[in-house]
Amino acid sequence: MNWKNFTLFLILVILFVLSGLYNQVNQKDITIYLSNPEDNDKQKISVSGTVLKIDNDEILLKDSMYGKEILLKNVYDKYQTNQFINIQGIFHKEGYIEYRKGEEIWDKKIKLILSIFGFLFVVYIFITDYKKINLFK
Amino acid sequence: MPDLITHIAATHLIVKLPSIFRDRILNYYNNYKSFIFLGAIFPDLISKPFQYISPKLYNFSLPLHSPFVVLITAYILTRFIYIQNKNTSFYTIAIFSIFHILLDNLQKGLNPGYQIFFPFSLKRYGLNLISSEIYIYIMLGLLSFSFIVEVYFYYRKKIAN
Repeated sequence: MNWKNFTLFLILVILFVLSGLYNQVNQKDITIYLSNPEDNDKQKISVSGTVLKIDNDEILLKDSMYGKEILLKNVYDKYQTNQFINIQGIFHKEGYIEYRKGEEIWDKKIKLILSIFGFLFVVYIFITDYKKINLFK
Repeated sequence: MPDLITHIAATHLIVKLPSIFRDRILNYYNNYKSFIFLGAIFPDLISKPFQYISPKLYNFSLPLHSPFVVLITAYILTRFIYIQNKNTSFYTIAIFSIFHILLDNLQKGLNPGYQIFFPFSLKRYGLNLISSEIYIYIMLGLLSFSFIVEVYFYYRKKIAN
């Protein structure tokens, strides 16, 4: 690898890290709400996660990003335990979310399996086409 | 987000269908098919692995699915890896990556879409047109249609020989 290629590769790494970190810092995730509940009282929030427990209109949800357990109140839609759901609601300073709307993400595993097959297909096309591809020339 | 099979089948059709009428497009497909399909999965290829490493990296990986990062990455990548011509290789990955992002944004749901205007805006946009209930039928439809097109080309080549 010559200096020009090395510089380009370095730019790529910096681009990935900077854009990722910039977004990570500026996006509000569940930890921001939980660490500053007073400041985020009655703010809109979107969370996805697995249903752990259902008690009448209350659901205990395990957040998919950090594994935090969050209480959802006023859940009028019917869900079952272990379902993966995506919800929108209003965060309250007491630490619970007032449910507004939600949906079950039923096809997460199907999409993952299909995507693995899709990826393998592209790898196969690359292997069969390898003679046409110029690498570091 | 549709799965990669849907992206590949849709991309296959938008290149292969016009190539029924234009040999130039067919030649382009035959020469650049690996980069055409790489473009079809490219935004997911550079962003999703971070989410599989750790779900905490979801916000980190979001901008890697934006046209800004995807196009720069495609440009740099095609300086190292290319077919015949670096610029044609870049345009191939760029066009089909943008098509991938467009397809992703068609999906309906509570997920607010992707950051199309990153880094100028962190807001996520989605066209909210296709619900996740029917997308699986769309995938099967596209796949079947792709298969029919490939069968057509197989017999066309056989007859020509």
